[in-house]
Amino acid sequence: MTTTSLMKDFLQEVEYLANKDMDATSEEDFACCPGGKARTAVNFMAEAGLFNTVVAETVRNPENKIDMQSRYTVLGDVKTKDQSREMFTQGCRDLESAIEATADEDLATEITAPWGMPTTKGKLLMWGLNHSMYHLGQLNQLQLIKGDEEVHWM
Amino acid sequence: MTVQKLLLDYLSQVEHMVTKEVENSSDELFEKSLGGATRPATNYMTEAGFFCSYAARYIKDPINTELINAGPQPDKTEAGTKRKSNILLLKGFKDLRRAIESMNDMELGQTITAPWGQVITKSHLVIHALGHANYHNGQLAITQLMEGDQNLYWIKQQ
Repeated sequence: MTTTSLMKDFLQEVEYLANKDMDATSEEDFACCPGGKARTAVNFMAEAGLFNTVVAETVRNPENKIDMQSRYTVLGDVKTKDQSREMFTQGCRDLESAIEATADEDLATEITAPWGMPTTKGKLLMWGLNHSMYHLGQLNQLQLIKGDEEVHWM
Repeated sequence: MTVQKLLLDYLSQVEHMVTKEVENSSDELFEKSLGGATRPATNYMTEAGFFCSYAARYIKDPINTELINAGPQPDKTEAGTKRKSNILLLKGFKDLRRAIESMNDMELGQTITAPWGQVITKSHLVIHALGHANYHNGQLAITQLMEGDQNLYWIKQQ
């Protein structure tokens, strides 16, 4: 087992969980704003995907400084579950390509995250996956609020 | 980068995020259920700690560690208070750190049967346990958001 193969296993798991939970969430629930204050799943699942795309671009080309605020403006155009899902899936593909393009010994290379944090390529890739898990928990919470207690990925 | 180093870095990342959210949640918010089928954080964050401790035991001794059932068992994971839940959560991270530190990459690459029946590497179970903790951390964050707290406490770096 290599370190990058472990990352790919985790990515595969994250995408599997996401697809199962997205399948089980209606368009209406995807667009609802819990408590009138939290973000919609349309927004945070698209953001999870965009974040992974930005992480992948940074790992592949650390010299190219990405303006996250400017990149994130596209999220304002994401209005439907399908658009959100498409962005999430694209993030997974971008992350997969970045992992495949990175050798185990290169994972310790020091870089700067797009938000200015000193990190390594390995840590940043894990940030992307971890961030997706965080939002998957939130998607699950929306299902639970509606009374759906089924574990859809099991 | 070795698998062991990746796992230790990831553990630090998750522990930082979770600790910050827990520290910045009031006792009242931690004990609050959002209705429907939701559980309070005193339940799901305790479960996250228990699962980390379980993963630590299981990867160290898969032969003599009973395979648990996958999925929530709320009657077994209710700590009752934020303080008790946090103690169990931190114990989970500590147990997992000790287990990872005691194993080399070859051992971490050995396969086991996951509670959900899939054959995976020991390192994959560690990642799953940590991802699971942050999954529930996202739920705690959405509870904060619904209460009008817009701060992202974990974004301030270690």
